[in-house]
Amino acid sequence: MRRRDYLGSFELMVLVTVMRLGDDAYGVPISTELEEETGHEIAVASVYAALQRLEDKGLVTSRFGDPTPERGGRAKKFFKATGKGIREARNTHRALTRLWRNIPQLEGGTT
Amino acid sequence: VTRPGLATWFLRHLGVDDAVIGDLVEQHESGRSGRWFWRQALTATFHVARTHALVTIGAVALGWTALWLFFRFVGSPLSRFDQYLLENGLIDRYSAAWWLRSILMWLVVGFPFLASGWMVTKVAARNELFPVLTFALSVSATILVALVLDTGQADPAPLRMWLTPVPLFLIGGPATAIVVGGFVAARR
Repeated sequence: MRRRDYLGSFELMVLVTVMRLGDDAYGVPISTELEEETGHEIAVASVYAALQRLEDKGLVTSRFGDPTPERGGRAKKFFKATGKGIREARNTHRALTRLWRNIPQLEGGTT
Repeated sequence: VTRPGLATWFLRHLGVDDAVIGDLVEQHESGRSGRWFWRQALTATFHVARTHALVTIGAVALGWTALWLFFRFVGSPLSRFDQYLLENGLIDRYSAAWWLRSILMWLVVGFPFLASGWMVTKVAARNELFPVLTFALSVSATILVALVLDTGQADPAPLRMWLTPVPLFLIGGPATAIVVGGFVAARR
């Protein structure tokens, strides 16, 4: 049986954020969105490491934008989820939702 | 807001992706603190170290091999020849020949460090500074251990030596030569 590469939790969060941001998905909005959603400081380099792994798996593609002065003349690197990436996120979501069912500790409440 | 230029410079030369540096600069320009920038820079450095661990290990091993080969086949015979000249009184102390010999010896000692730093940086190509800094650090650490354990063939070094700049020079000199060699190789 072929070994399946499962998405790590951080990779999944990054992939979903890329999908949410659409055409504006580059390092800054991705990490800002992740910080807002998780409430923790996110290392930009960790986001890029996850994006690199996602790109290696064929789940996202990247392209460079134009260099901008507020970035010291450096170009933005935009990311976009591929069809495979969207399928993978959907499958993982389904699997997690199924696993989530009937776990008393995870039902209701905030603690 | 002033950008931590030193951190940006280091990141670029450590091989951190330009897009990552651009993101950090953009966020810093829009109000993130200098401390935030340095924290992010450290994490980015850690990622480079992890990603390029094999290249770094290979480059450092090459640097050490180059040093060993040089001192084994050039440095050591030259040192014995120098000792022969001095012990047999063929060169008078502080004469023109003595000064010439001293300059030559410093060049002979300094050159392999400079050359090995250049070589390590050339081999490491994309992430130029990380391997050369690791190599320089490993050389300094080895010299420090050798000084502390006093493993040389000469008479034991007196303890008062540690109160002089000599150890600092012995530890920092080769590392500086290695880094200078690295900078020469990295210059575009």
